[in-house]
Amino acid sequence: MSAWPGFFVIGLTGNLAAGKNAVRRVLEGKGALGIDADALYHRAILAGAPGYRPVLDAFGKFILNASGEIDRKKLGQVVLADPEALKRLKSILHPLVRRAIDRMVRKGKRRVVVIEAAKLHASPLRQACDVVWVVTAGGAEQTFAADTVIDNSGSLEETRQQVRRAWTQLPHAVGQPVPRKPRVQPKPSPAGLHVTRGSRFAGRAQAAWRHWRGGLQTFARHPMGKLGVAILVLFALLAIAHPLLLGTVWKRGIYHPITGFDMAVAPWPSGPTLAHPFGNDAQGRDILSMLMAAIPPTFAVAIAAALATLVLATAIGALSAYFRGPVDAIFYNISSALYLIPALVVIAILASRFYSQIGAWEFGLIYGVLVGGGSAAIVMRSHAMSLMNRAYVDASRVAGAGAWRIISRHLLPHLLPLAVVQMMLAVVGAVVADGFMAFYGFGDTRFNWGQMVYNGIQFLTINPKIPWLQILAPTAALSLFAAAFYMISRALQDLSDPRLADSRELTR
Amino acid sequence: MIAFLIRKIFSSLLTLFVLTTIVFFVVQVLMPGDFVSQFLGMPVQEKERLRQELGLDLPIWDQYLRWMGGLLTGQSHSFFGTFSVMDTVASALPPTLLVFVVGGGIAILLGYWLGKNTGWRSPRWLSEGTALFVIGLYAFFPPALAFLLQYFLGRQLEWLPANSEAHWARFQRDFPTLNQVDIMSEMVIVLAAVVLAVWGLTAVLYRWRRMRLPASITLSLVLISWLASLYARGIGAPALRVLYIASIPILAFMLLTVGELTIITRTSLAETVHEEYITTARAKGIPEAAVRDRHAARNALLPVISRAIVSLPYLIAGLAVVEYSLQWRGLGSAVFGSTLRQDVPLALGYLLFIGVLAMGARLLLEVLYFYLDPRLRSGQQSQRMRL
Repeated sequence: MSAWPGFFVIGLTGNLAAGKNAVRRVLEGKGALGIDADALYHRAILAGAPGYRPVLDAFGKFILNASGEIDRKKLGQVVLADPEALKRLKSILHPLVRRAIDRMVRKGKRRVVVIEAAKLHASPLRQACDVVWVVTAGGAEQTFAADTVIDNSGSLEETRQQVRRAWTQLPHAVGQPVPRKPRVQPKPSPAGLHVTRGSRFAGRAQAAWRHWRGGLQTFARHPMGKLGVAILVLFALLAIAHPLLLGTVWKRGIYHPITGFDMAVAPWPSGPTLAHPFGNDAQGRDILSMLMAAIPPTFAVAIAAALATLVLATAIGALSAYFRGPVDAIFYNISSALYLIPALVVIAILASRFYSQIGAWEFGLIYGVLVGGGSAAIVMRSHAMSLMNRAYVDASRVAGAGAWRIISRHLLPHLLPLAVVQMMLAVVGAVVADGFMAFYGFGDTRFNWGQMVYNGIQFLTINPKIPWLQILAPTAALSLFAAAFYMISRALQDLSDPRLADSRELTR
Repeated sequence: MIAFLIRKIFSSLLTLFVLTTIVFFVVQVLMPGDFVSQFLGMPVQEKERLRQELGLDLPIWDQYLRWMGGLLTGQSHSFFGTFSVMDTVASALPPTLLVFVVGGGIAILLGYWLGKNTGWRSPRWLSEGTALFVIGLYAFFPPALAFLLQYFLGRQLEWLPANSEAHWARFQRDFPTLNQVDIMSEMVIVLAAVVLAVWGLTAVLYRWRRMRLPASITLSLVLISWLASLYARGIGAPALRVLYIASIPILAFMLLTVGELTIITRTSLAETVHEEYITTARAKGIPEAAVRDRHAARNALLPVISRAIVSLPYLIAGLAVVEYSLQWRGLGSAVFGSTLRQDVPLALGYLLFIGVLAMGARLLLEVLYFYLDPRLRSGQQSQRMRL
């Protein structure tokens, strides 16, 4: 059974100059699809091909010749001298060649495929073939595992005869039409990504997953990004724990974030005790419980701001870069204007009219729109402009791709990493601004860390004793929450910058 | 360079026009009710009369044109009283500018220095630790930072003035003939002039003598000539007092800003470490500090400036918050104060001035970027040659 259901795959091997090429020609003449795997290996390391950079990174620049191409002779000396190096080279090139063959088999739509490879027996490609044909020029090399042996020691005509005979003995009827859409079972991906909507989509999803998995692995190595994610996870756990604790362990009368107070503790504000690890505020409320109750609205602000920024900034950047002209002029002027006014001040003016009608989601949305249409859009626009100058966009245009296809296939995927960085920065601003609005007195009934800080500072004006925990605990929570997003954005920025990623690869 | 400046200024004016229009319509169209509707106890006739007096009964276009006209001629009026928006705003600008220029300047220098020293082959714990510390500063809740500074440095240690209002009163008593706002604007203008002069001096020295002044000498030259010129103009003592009173706002704004700048410098410096010109410089036997300062840090400067342009709105919002929290009488506390009173024309006037401030800072950074990037400069030159 071949690796490609619906196709019959012949693996063709034999020593150097044994006549594999001639056999492949005959089979191609019979309607089979011929693939020269050895040539694919060579092509994978040409300058600009996908194998070029990884091989350079693995072995160093000395394998280059004067014109910047990889010198196969030098590379050969390296890998022949060191089995480890050979293994490394193989691990780089095999997946690339395999992907190319996959694609050729699927696009070729020939029922029978011939893969010619000199070292087929040593290669994982062997498993992908239904049968193996070995071409010999007289000797008995490699014939041990052959299904069919073609003896090329005689004349060319004799060889052709043998090939034709072997062809008629293939188990599949040759004249049978090729299925229009070969069903390819997607391998279940590690993330549980089960895709059922057709093989093309599955293939694309798999490719995307492979791409993102590499990114995730790099991200996981970034200490700052890890710390940021850990802080966010901690906050999320606390947010989930609050209603559970309030329903079961904590008494509502004592731990309710708004109305609760503990008669057993006096006077308020009080320092930390076992029952109240962060102490009680000036009204006797448990500070930890208040801190936890403020997490969900803050997450709402963060999520709304993040999504609004992401969508708006990416859309404006892609549209102005693609259409340029008047579209770009309009967007650019609006963005520049929005850039100049701090979103926080605009929201303050809005809030002065709407009083407490601006809830967490609305707040995040407004902030996201102001930032996403402003500074983030400016950054995305200039990045998208540089992307539009890439050769592949021109190639796509020549091939007749429309606006939507170029934007969705070429611009958006490359804009996304930077957009996520901008999104995280917007979240930092939104969280701090939300805290300040509550501090400033425009908070609605929902809980907010900024309001807690304000209450603590206000208490100071009538009382010499400072409720330190009431001021410091929410300050720390808010700053940590915002800093977590900043750290993630930092890590993503390092990831999305190919120059930096490159240098990291080189030094490792 | 001149063409670049003219183009930039032109597009800035256009942006400013768009900004005023957006601000006006967002506030006027989206908002239910108007200024008058907040007086609940007022009889209807009285309300109508007040609306007519303030021009609120006119169609929105008419209001817009009147407002723009008022802005251009400097005669827009607040809803409260008859004082002109322009005069009020103009008196709030110098305090903000002083904090922005001095605090921002220190933050840039300190951030650049910190980023340079921790980003360049320093031990991992130092580099990561500094990064975490400055991120903490960047994300620190500004009102709480302001409060903590005020409490510890002002009230507990009594090093710096905790309550600026009380100190302004004493300032008026000590210098009855002087206006603090005028002094502040003079300080900013003199500082700008001094920086330009010193920069010109270093350029001349380099051009004709191939001499580079160390950064420490340049900086002390700026500082000394700033103070000397202030004394020469006869406002040395009051200017020092103003700096003393402004120290907490300046410190708070500097701390909020320095984190971002440190991180950017650190990252862009790390990007240059693997460049080939760095290896070349090392191979030539140039001392490590010189490699860092001359070869790496100069190239790292461009991304620092471009990122600073992007994060400018965040920094200015931070400035406004710091001002409001410390009750420093600048644009920031004024815009929040007028918002609380629902005085929309005044709030918009302040907002517009904040926009102008941001625009000025952006323009400055863009010119700096243009000046520092040889690619842009040479592009301009080759164009001229082709013509």
